[in-house]
Amino acid sequence: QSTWGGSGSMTHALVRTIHPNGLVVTCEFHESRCNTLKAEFSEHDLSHLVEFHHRDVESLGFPVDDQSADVAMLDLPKPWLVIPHLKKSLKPSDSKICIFSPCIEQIQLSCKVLTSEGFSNLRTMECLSREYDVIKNELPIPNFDNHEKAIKEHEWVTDKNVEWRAKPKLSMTGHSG
Amino acid sequence: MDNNNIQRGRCVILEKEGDKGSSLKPFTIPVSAGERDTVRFDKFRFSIASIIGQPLGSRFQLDDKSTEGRGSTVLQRWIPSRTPVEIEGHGDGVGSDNRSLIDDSTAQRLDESDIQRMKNDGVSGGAIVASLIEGSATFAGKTKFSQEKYVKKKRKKHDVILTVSKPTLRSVARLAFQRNMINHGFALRSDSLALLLTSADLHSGCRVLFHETCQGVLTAGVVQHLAGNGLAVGLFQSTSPNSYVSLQYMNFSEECSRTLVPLTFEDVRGIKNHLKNKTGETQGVNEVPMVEDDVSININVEEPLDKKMKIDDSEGLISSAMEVAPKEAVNGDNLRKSIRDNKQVMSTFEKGDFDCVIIATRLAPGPILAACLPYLRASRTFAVYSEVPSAILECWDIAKSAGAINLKVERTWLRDYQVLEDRTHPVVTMTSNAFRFILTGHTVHNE
Repeated sequence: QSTWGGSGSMTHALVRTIHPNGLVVTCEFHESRCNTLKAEFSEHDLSHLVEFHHRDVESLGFPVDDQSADVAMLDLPKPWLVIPHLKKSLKPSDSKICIFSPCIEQIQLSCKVLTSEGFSNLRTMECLSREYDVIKNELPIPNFDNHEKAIKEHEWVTDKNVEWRAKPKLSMTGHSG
Repeated sequence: MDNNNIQRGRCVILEKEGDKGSSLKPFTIPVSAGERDTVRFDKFRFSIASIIGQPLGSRFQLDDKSTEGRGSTVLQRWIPSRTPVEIEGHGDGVGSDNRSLIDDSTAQRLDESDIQRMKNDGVSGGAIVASLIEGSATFAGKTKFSQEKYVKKKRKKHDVILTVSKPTLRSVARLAFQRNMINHGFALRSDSLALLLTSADLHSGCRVLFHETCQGVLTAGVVQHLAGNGLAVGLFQSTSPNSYVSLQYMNFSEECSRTLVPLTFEDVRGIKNHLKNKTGETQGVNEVPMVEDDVSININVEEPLDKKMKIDDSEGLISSAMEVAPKEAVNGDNLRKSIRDNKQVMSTFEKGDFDCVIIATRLAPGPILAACLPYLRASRTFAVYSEVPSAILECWDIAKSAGAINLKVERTWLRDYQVLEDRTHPVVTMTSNAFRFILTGHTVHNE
C-alpha cells in the first residue's frame, strides 16, 4: 500500500514491481488530484492493479483492516500519525514499512513511534545518486625528434592519445522529498 | 497464500548482531529435520525443531548454553523491549559529561575469567550484563546516553539475539555482499542492485538478457521481478547452479524459476553462428562495431585467481562455479541441442526481441555489452555495472557507436544513520561505492 498519490510516479513504480498479481492501495487527500491519477492509470491500462481512495490517512489510517498487506510505503509530512493505524492493515509478522522523509526531525519522531508500537529491525539510510559527465580528452603527444625540422615543417605532434575521463557533475540532487 | 511460518524445506536467513557487526547465514531447513537435529551458526549450535512453526521474523535468545561443545539448546523466543534500552535500576544517570571518568581498565570489578565462570555455570546473557553493570565503578557516573551505549555494547557481546527471517532480495544481497567482499573483492551492493533493476525497467513479462558474476544476486532480482512471466536469459561463466547460488535461497516456485535459461558465452556464439547460417547473412539488427577486434566471446573460463588474496572457499562455491556444465551434444554451429530446441530463446535472439540488457561483472563489460546490444529491441534500456572506471567508459563508447541515447554514468551513495533521541548521527563506518559505476542508456531504431 502507499499513501500520498502526489504525482503518481511512486505509484507507477510500485505497480510495475507488483505486476501482474499484486495490488497497490493508494490514498490521496486532495480530491481532484485523486481523480486525475485515476484517469491516468486507466489510460495506462493499469487500473486493475491499483485502488485509489480519496482519504486522509494521517487521521483515518488505511482502508485496509484485515491485516493482509505485506508492505506500507509512507511519503507524508507526518508519518508518525499513521504508524499506530498500520497494525490493523499489515500482516502480523515479517511485513515491512518504508518511510520517506527529507527532514531528520520527521525520521526521529517516526523511529520513536515505530519502536513504541513494537516494530523492530529499524534501519535509517540516506541514498543519493551521483552523476558523471564523460569527457573525451585528446592529448597530442609532442614530437621531440628532430626538433628544428619539426618547427620548420610544423610537425609538432607525432600522434594523438585519447583519454576518457568521468568527472562528477558539479551539482547533484541533495534529496528528492 | 504464503505460510508465514518457519517450515521444513524452506530457506531462511539467520542473522545475529555481534560485537563485530551483524553476520548472516542462509539455511535451508531439511525436510527430514527431526527433534534431535541441530544447526551451527558461528560458535552457536541450536535445535532446529525449536524454531520450526514459529513466525518468520521471530527472534531467539542465543546464550552460552548453545555454544558448540556444550550441547545444543532449545531456543526461546525473545520479544524486544519497546523503549530504546532497558536498564533496570539505573534509569537516571547522574553524570552530565565524562570529565571525571578515567579510562585505566580498573573500573570493572569482574574480569574475563569471572565472566567465563558464569557462562560455564549456565548464567544467562541478561544476568551477565546485569552483573557487569553492578561491577562497574563508573557506570552510575556516566551520562544516560553513555549508560545506554554501555549496556548495548555488553548485550551485543554476551546476550546475543538470533533473528530467523524470510529471505528477501535485500537480505540475500547483503549476505552476498559480505561474502563477496571477503572472497573476491567484487561485490554488488544492494543500492547498486536496486538502481540496475529499476533503470532497466524490469517488470513481469519482460525478456531480459543479463550477465553477472555476483553469486546470483542479480539473477534472483531478475527472476523475482519477472514473477514467472517472461524470459530471463542469463550469461554465466558456467551453467552450474553455483554460478547463481543466491537464487536457491529465495524459495521461488518452480513456475518462477522456469523463466531462467542459463547460457555460457560459448552458447551465445553458437546461437550467433546458427542464426547466421540459417539466414545466410549476418545478424540484421543493429550490428555493433567493436572498439577492438572481435574477441567478444573468447573469455577464458579458468581465469587466474589473485594469489595474494587469501580466498576462503570453504563452501566450495568458487571452485564449483568454475565447473563446466556436463557436455551436451552440439551441432556444427557449436550450439547445444537444448538451446536449439528452446523455441522461445531462439526466436527472441533471432528477432532481437529482448526488452532489457543488464550486466554486472568483474570481467570486461565492453565485449559483453557489444555482444548483447544487437539483440535488444529499439527504445529499450540497458544497464551496466563495473568497478573499473575505464571499462565503463569503454562501454560508453560502444553504446554511443551503436547509436544509443540518454547515456548516463552514475554511482550511488549510501549512508546508514543511528537515530536515537538527541544523538542522531551517521554510523561510524560507511562502505564506499567510489569506483562502482553504472552506465544506463536507451537503444534507438536505426534505419
